[in-house]
Amino acid sequence: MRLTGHAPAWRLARMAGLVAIGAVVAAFLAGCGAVDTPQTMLFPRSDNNQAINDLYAPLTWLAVVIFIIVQGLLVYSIFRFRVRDDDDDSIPPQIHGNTRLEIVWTLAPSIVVVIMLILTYQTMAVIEADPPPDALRVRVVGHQWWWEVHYPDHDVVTANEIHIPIDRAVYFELESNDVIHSFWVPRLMGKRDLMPGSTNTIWFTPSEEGLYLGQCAEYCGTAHAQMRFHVVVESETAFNNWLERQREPAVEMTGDAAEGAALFVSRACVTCHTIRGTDAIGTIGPDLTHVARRSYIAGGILENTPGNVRNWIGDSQSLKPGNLMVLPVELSEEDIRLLTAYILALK
Amino acid sequence: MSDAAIAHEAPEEHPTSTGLNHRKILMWAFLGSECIFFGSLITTYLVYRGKSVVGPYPSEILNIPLTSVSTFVLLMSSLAMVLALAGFERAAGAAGDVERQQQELKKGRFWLLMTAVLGTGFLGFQAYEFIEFVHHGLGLTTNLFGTTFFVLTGFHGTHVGVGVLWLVSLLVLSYFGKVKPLDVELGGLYWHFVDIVWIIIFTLIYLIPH
Amino acid sequence: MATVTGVQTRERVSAGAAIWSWVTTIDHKRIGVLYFVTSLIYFMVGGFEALLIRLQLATPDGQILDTDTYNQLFTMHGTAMVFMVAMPMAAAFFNFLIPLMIGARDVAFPRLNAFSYWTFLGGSLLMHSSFLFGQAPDGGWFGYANLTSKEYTPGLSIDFWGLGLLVLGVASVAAALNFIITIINLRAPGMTLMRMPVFVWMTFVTSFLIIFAFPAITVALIFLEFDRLFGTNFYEVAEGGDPMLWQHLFWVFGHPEVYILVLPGFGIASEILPTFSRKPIFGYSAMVFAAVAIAFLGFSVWAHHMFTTGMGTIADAAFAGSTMLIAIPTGIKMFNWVATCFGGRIRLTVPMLFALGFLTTFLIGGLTGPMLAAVPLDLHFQDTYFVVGHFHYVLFGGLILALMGGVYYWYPKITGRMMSEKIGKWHFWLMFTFMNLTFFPMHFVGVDGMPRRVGTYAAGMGWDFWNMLISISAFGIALSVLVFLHNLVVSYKKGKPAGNDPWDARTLEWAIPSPPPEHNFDEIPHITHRDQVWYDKYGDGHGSAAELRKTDADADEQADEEHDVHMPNPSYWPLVVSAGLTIAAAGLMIHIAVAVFGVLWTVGAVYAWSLEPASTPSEEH
Repeated sequence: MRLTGHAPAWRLARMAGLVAIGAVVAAFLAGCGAVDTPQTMLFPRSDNNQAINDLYAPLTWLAVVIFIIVQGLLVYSIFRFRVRDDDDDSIPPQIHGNTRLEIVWTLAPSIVVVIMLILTYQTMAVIEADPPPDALRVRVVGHQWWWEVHYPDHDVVTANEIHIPIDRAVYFELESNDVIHSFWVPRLMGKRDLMPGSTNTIWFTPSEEGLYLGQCAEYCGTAHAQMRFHVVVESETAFNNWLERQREPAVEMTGDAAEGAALFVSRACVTCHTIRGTDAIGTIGPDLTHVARRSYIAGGILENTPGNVRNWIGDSQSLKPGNLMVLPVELSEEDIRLLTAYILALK
Repeated sequence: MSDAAIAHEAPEEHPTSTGLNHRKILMWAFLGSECIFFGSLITTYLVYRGKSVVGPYPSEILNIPLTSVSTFVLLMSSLAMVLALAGFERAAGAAGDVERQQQELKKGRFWLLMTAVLGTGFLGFQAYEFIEFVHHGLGLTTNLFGTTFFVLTGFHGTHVGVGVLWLVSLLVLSYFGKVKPLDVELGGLYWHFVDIVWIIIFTLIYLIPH
Repeated sequence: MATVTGVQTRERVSAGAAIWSWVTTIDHKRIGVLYFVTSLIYFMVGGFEALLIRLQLATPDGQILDTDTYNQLFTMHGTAMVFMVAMPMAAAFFNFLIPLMIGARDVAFPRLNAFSYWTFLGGSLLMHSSFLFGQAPDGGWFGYANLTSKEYTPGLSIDFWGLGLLVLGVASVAAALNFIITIINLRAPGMTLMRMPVFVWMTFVTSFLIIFAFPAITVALIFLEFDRLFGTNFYEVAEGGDPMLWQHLFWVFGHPEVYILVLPGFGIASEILPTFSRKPIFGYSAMVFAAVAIAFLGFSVWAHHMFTTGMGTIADAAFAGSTMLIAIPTGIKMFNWVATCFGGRIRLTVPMLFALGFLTTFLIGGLTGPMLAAVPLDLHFQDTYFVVGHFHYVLFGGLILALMGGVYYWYPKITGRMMSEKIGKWHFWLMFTFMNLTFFPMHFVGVDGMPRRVGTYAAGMGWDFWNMLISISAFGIALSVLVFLHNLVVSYKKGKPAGNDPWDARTLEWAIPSPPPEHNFDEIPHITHRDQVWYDKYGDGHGSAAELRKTDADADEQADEEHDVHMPNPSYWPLVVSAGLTIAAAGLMIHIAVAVFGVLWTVGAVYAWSLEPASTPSEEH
């Protein structure tokens, strides 16, 4: 079992291995300096999310410290007590245990657990408290694979893009129309599932304006990966203007857009979509009354550009496989052009 | 056949660490596992109590007097089971006395048959109850009550059915001298377990008012 | 009959007879080998699925797989790795080692043991046959209702999954019952419970977890299949059903399942570390009670998988608390393992490297556990790659590394030959390096907001670099597995002969020839100490070899009755019963008549089995 004096090839592998692990550790430490990425949970932009973040740091460091202690003991033992070439074959003392030591390392993790629990419960008390009474109510209904958004107190219905004002608590009522989804905007708050048959809630007060990414976090079938959405945090004024605009019916159409509008109602589109102010009152797909004002389409996956809208109408299945917008008959190029014009005009 | 009628304690049964027979511990451990099985079924029934969106509802349809009778029948089968085992054990204990052995064995067989008959009787009541419910518009898929009721009592009934099959097999095998008291005891353990589960089901489904 | 009939040195016989002898075998050692080879094949399958997944995720907007295939692959990867790799590979060790370690000639119910294997094979083949019909399961290994309902997942994919798992459940429970009785009842004279090797204890605890955890998923799956096949309403929201019912039942099973998976790893490490430290396990009783505590607590923590479902503050707080409590017994075990090494004479052989690697990686997986139990953090971590990283550290680091160490450690006992240390070191360092490079960065992408179970992601999320690194490293793991397979094969032909006790080890299996004879022990040993073989070699003194314990009065007394050993006969009935069960399950997807046929087949075969004498009549007296 002795190691030979030569340097066998596997030692190179070991060297590479240790270097790689060193690199991971270095990267980890760098990771604690944390990179600001679009969907990171490390740069919170709401009060409750800040509370969660304040829990993240101590628990992480606690884990790092425990790892260093235990792993340090292990590595020390390996190097200190390793059999060397010049050892005799004597048998080390056969120690079966040590009650005092074992009590110590029963108590040590117990104390750590108590600390972690206290920290956890403190944070829970903050984020699971009742929202302030003046909180903005937003009802979100999950669908395969898009989000229906209601502002019950403002008579507004939209989809996939949620506008909320800065510095005012927002209270989400989460429901599902089909299977379980999960509502998650990492910069703003932890996730909460949308359960069919019941209503879940979550709340927070956003603290910085911006466009935030959200994503369904519970596997919900074929197009789960493409069930995204956006949250726009804006000033009180901008938000009120937006609400105002959303309440209005669709604008009057002229030219190609008007032809597209006629097509929309005469084709299958109308069975699923609502466009207020027209004959389209379907409820299976997203409300499109002001779709042209959204930054993204198709459940938050495509920027709202003429090209994307055109492609989406023409061949949504290749852009988002499995999505439920299935047309009974194929649209002609001309139909697609007119419908695109209509959609783009739904300001 | 006197000698063959009682199987010898087989010589291959080596002494065990605990002195208990393997198969007996196996049966206990298996029944432990079964407890979780029925526990999950019963819990589901309780969780879904009163959650049906359409009728018929339990209070409209459960026939408590009838089920009390069938419960009594099943309880009596447990008594018969005890007597059957006693018969087989006494027969084994009377190895020297052929006449007494035959007598005890006969008793054992009679009570074994009675257990199976009473078990079948219980199944008959259950079949009648199921058919009645279907006539009253409660099927497996009608509502949550139908779903949880039929699946819970159905799985229990299946257990009773397996038990009856087991008892009949023991009865037949006993004529070929293949049945040891232990075999009867194991069947008995299972039978009593199934009986106890029914007591719980009867109490929770039928007796607690909805 | 007292000599070699082990696995490898069996005399040359015709191929047909050889196959027949494996089909009808009820020898725990051969069944162990069957389990091992089968689970190794599924390890390749599951690993191949993982590689396809990583190819798809290597770059943003990956185009390798379509969405449905991707969803099938992550479902089958998870299901196969849990139910067809981790559990049966642990069962392979249980089978081969438990009778040897407790000084028994076989398990308590050899034919039931064969039945467990064949049923496992039947269930796993049933589930994998879905690929032939293009209907591979795609509901996730956790199969959350109501996505798995007929309405949202038509076709047979979920039925293959549900019915396959039901059959596998029968196999697991039957095997667990067998090991419980074996350990309770077949210990050699003098082997009290507190003299059993830690591995035997872990098997014992694992088996109890199995028999109490599996009924919950059995019921959940029965509900699922009733809903799908007969139209019941268990998970039908419109009828008042609640998808949470599935989650509760699934995780009442699912969390104990984690310990079912990892306790065998604990057991293996607890055998390897003492041997190569040349010291007994530190704090034996604490190790045993910690495992029992983990098992009990394991049944009280299930809902920590459900913090995001809105159970309410009280429930969240309670389950966070019970979950964190598990850190205490786990911490005790960790410190005791380290203390076992401390003060020893550590030989860094391949098994030892794997055991030390296990300690390191399991420690990491163990430390991210309490972070996940902190409810507010879990609201972020849940269903992200942070969780994926966490449980791969626990299951790959905690179980696979330990199992690999176990293979190197007991291979000489199983085959009679040593595995190559040189190739083994390549294997270890490749696997250890690349598993860390694969699974550690998953924590980063998780924190950066990458959800799990997504087959595609947009560029510019800050995930690109890490995903590429993870994918490359995953292929590194695959390479290490190839090295391992190479070592298995080469060493089988060319390995150094092992002798009885190549590692200077401590437990009973090392006192008998390698490979062990069919009946294991010529004489059932008499146990006076924990680590009996070590005691026989060195006494309980410190350093010098003590006199061998040969004068034990009890031993001589009982020895003479053991010379005439007869083993139970081979039987094909276990296989026939398993086939019946599998046909019954498959029949539910084909036609009810086929299912009834399968049930009748099973019942008939059970009768044939119970009437078949366990040993030939001539031997009965």
